[in-house]
Amino acid sequence: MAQDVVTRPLALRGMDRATGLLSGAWSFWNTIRKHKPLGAVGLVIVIGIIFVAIFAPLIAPYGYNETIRTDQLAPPSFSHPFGADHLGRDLFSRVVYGARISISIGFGAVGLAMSMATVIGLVSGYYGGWFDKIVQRFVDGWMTFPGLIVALAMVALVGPGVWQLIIVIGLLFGIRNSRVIRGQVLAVMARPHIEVAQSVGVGDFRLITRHVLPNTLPPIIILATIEIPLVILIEASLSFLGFGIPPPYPAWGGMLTWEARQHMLTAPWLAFAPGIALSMTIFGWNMFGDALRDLLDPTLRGSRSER
Amino acid sequence: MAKYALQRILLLIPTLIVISFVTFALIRFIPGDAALAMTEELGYAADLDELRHLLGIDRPIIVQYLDWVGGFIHGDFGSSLWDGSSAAGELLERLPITMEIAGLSLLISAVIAIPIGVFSAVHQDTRGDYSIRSAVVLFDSVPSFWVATLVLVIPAYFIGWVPASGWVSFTEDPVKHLTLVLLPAAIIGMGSTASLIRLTRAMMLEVLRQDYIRTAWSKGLSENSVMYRHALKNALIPVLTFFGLRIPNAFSGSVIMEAVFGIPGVGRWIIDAINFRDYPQLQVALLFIAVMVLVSNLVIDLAYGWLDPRVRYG
Repeated sequence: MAQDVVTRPLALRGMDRATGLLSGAWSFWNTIRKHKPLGAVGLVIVIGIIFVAIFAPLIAPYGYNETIRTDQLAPPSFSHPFGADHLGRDLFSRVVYGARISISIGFGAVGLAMSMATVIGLVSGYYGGWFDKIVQRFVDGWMTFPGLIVALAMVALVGPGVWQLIIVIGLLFGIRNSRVIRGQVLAVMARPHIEVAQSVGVGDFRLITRHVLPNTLPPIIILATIEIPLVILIEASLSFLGFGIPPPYPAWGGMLTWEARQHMLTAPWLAFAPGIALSMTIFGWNMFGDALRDLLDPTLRGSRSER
Repeated sequence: MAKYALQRILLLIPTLIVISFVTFALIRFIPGDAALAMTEELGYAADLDELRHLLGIDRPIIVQYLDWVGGFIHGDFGSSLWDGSSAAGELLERLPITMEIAGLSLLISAVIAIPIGVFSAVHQDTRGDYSIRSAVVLFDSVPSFWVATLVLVIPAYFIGWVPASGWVSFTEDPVKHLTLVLLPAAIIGMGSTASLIRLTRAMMLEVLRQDYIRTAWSKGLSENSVMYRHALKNALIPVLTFFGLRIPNAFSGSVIMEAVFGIPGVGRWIIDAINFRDYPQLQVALLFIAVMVLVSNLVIDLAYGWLDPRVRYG
């Protein structure tokens, strides 16, 4: 009995938090469904792809590198819904596992980019001065290089692989995004509540973490959602050019490379599944990102930059 | 205005220094230098150290950098580590090819996108507008390299037609040249078409709400005159910025299309330079693209004030 007295309130509090989160998610879903039906479609696609990525081993009937010699270049059939490639690997299984690569690079690179951009943007916007001047000139220079070409050169530097791509693409977007975060920090700093906080003697650290950062969060979240499809596209382009995820790993872009293209002339179905999966993922994120931006911050409309 | 222009040009200097240093440092850190690739693949020299010394890539990085920057002053932009050809000369030879494809792609997307964008804005919230907007969203999500793959694969499989690839210069065979250039340009253009439709539509909607448009209507001007002579002209100003911002993207797109269609432009050159660790080539290419983007951004900013006198420089 005594145990109950101690544990029950805790357990209840935990349950409260869980139901609070759930009802929050539910009301968000209702809002987006009512006001942005296309965004809701996007959200469903995004959740579906994340689901596929998580449960890939349960969904895929074969391993991503499992070769069945007799099924080389097999057309779509009941046992191979999307056909099989020149090594006899089931394309459906490869596309399913490919979702893992796309999603992990998408989240990983955007996560890295946002943390980097937030730190640089906060310090640069909050303290200003010579640090800000030097950093801004550096960002100016960085933004003049075409993204894909810088990424190509950097992948040559660090080598191919998932972690390497996360770092390269994260760096590419992180430096660019720091400009956006800096702008937001400057805008927040001009608001009266910051002046009030400063006048009552709130310290730098507390001012940044309690008063500036929370107000820069909405644009950070929107930017992150909008950039995930761009990151996925850059990863696919790099893999397509042979500089991204090395074979035999089933990156969607990598499944359309020159090597595979040779066989597509006799087995065109090799070209369909990876491209459809990629387009659908990008479409879902685009729709969801646009809807989220319109719902959270209409002033950012049209801020999507490509590649 | 002149003061502003001067200010902007002076601000280019630190940016240029950053750019040159970033290109230089970035590329020097690529593991496996040219000497390694040369001895491995061609056996140019038995001794690696000797070859590195010969190529001058054994000196401290800062010395190499100053030497490289110093070369610019008397017009020496470095030469290929492999065949000793002038990197700048090779770039100038390949540049027209990439510029032609990039320019053509922007032209194609402008010709398609601007009328569609205007239509969509004028018929706002009609069935036509909705279907255009949905098509744009769909279009925006299809990667260009997949489209290129489908174009190469599907006609080949079903009707046995393969689009021409490779390269013929315009002076050799103008017709063949155009067939080679049009397809990659159209595919790159497709990528910017979707965003350009969106932008044109948004700008037109904004302009159509302005007072002077109501004045133009009440003067009894024809719809064509109001739309094209009064509204579109002002709506297109941001489109200029769009084209400026598209230049780096056109280069990125060109890298992919040149690889797919076997076109000997700057994009292919960059990929080869990365593969062969040919630092001077890669540096000149990156530096040139960055400078071009920088200059075109400046020109566009200055042109803004000329197109729209309300813009004040400060």
